[in-house]
Amino acid sequence: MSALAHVAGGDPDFDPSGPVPAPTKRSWTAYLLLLPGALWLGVFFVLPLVQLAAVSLQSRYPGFPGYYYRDVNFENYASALTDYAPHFARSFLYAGLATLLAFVVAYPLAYAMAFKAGKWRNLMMICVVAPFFTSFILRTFAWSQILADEGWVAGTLNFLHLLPGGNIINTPLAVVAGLTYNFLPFMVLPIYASLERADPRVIEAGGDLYANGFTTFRTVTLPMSMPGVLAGTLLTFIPAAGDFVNMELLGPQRGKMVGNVINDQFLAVPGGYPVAASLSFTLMAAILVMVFLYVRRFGTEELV
Amino acid sequence: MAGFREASGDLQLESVTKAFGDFTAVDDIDLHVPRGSFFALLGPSGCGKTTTLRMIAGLEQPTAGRVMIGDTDLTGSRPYERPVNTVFQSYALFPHLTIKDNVSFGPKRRKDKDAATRTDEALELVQMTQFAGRKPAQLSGGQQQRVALARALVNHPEVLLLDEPLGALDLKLRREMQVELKRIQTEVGLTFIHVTHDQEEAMTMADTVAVMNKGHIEQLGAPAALYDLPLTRFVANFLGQANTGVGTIKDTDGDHIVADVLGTPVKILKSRSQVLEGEVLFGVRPEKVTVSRSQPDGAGNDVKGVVRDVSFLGVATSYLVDMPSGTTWSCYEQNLDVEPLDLRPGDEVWLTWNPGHAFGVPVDET
Amino acid sequence: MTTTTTTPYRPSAPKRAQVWLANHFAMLSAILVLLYLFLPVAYTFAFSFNDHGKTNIVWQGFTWEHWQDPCGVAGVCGSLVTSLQVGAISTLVATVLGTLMALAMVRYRFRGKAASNVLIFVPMATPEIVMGAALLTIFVQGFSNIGLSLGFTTIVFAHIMFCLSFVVVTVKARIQSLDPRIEEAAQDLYASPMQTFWKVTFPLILPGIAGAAMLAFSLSFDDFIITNFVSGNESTFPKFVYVASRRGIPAEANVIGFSMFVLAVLLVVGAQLVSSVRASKIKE
Repeated sequence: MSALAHVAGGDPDFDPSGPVPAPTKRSWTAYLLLLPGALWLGVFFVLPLVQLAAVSLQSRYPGFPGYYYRDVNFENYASALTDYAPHFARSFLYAGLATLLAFVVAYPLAYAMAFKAGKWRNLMMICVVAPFFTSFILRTFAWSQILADEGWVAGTLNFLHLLPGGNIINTPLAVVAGLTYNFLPFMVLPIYASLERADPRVIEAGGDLYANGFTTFRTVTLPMSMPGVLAGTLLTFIPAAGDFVNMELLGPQRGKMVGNVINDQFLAVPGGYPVAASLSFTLMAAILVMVFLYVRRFGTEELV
Repeated sequence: MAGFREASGDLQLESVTKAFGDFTAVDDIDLHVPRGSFFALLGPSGCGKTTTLRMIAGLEQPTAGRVMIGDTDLTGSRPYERPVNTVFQSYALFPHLTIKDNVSFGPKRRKDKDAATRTDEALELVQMTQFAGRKPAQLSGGQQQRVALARALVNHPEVLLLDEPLGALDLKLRREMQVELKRIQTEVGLTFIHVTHDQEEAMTMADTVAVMNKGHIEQLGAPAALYDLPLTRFVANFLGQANTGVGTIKDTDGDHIVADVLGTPVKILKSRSQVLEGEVLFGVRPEKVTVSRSQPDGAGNDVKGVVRDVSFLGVATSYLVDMPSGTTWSCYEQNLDVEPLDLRPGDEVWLTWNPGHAFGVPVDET
Repeated sequence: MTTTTTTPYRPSAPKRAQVWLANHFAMLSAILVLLYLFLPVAYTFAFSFNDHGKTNIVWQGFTWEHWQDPCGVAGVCGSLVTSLQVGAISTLVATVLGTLMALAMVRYRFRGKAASNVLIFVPMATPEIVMGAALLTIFVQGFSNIGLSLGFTTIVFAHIMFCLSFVVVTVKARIQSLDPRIEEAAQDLYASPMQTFWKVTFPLILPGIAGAAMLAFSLSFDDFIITNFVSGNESTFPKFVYVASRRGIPAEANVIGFSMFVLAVLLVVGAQLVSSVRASKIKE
């Protein structure tokens, strides 16, 4: 997978007999440089996760909502998996659909930016990032206005009899639309970055060899941008699977996602901590497993 | 300057070894470079020449051995503590600084009061004064190369290291810069150590050439001496062209040994052969071979072959001749006569050479 | 001498339209996608002029009122100030710590490098809600014992944490693209390690650090999910908007949201212009 070599940080021209520059300095300086940041991540990322793990194993005092004691009780996980299985299923389904849609929407844009935009490239780049300087909640709320029953989108679709249920807002469709929109730049930018590094002449050569545009795309362009696609899909899927704001602002009253459950259990249900913690861990574990399998399948050694 | 080592004199490497893990890049080399000489380290990529250079600069520390200038032991000192400067292969100019600031970087670090004057002088020396205000990205490759040279020279280092400094230039510019570098070296009188894989470059510029291979120094000497009398098979093949053949030493004939090369007896002066019995690799340079239509009398060293290809080069004509042994020889004849030999592919010819021009080296190694 | 004039091959009109479409397909769809990206922003802008009553959901008439007094609604400007303060402090700390980490990761070889890579990567692969939940439990059950209660400080601590990884990745990319020989050249020219860093390395990676800082600020400024968990009674701008959305976001929030958008775009375009002017100077 030589196309991934530059992403993985490997140097294809590395000559073991030649000079070996860069990382040869004494290591204690490295620890000194690393220490403050690593400490911060340790105290505010690892430690909280450990605490969350402990909470997820706690038991409740029966009859005393809001009180629980230290325990090693896996029942919370059992109930997380049985009671909230549909929520998990919805989270992954909606996030998966949103990722797929974002890919379909983002690719032509990234492609145009990398190969067709010329001097407009920087302007297009600004246009991709700019909308995200308005607050994420404001934009999502704007979608609830755009997709509202009285709005022109629903109106047009209803007029064309393309909307069986009669409305978009407060349906899963609106949630997927919102998720697709909100994480789109995370898809566009990595794909653009890997396409930009690709040599357009290779694609032209592909065009020469295959003549057919789609075949060229499938056999030459897409594989070259694979590192970007991989990063983009992960950066879209992960936040989408854990999101609850789109469901809250655009989705139906019933049939929530796992993010909503975690949020409510933590902030609204007294004594909800243990179940919410086990839900959080299950979500994180599921995502890490999926990421691992996905990366194994489409392979790159290092994503960052 | 904390820790700066003043040192002056000849550069010496004593039993220097550098290993990267299991790989030994430089294997126990000794080197003595007299002060003020133009010294070339020549070898194919991966032979250890750049690593040697980096150890002199202090960018690598030897695994064993000592690096000395005069009586000062520089082993273990940092690059910024040595009176040594480098012209890097990629020039490594500071992209964010102007040409002037690039050149004055070294003197300013050393808190030199005359930094400004010396910078101007250095820019003058490489004829780059008019570009002083520009950034490196605004210069051509050749101009950047001059700046890199000025940036190193301005410090009046005891030893100046050049790491394939002309590698990125096109042929014409390369030739010009070779002459220029030689002129500057003569002018400033510093020790120059020039690393290159281009044998022609090494031979045109250097007083002394060390040919390196696999971490060892194969042979060291003046360019003409190396070319005329290589001591190893590697040097024979790496420096210029050589027509060679493996033979067995059968006999001696006064000052000569006589070897049997696939049925043809050839003579080599004893003083020009590194082996006197057993197997020998016989060799003779293309321009030392004479091509004639008929067998010349008496000489002894003559072989009959068939012309494969003729290229007319103006000052000379180059022939490729298939030998009975199955190898192909290259011969280079000066066009001294207005009437050329007029040979065509397929013609039979006799090749002769003066036994005093042949050389013999050990066969071992490939 | 005879000249043959050939009529150039001219495909039929539908065929030509097809070819044109094929050539411009990517650009056309890109423009459509950009319009799609800007649609909600346009709505936000339009509804900042809505002369709404209780809720700002349907268009009721035009007014300048909200632009004349954006702070007219209780809490909106206070939350904006909080967000700006949180963003500034988190960006500063995360950028410094992240840059140091990036230097260690690229320029040094040490034991535990792989583990450090994981420690940097995993926060980016963790859903915000999990990070928020974890931080809430530790703040409530652990750190409250040492006198740290939910509020401004906890928001800043959390924001520094999730910005850190993004800073490391951004700065790392910049350092990796830097030719290590340039730093060697500085050392060769008598610069000590500290001088090499400040005179050469730092100015050359500065654009990467600036980019990382911008990214960190925008991540912090727009964060809602984690902030919602760790903020207690403190309100940031996104939290204000979210809470208000239950009963209708006041148009003043639209005014502020849109102004931040304009400000950011002006900043980015300005930076672009400065760098392109510099680039053209170099080319002269």
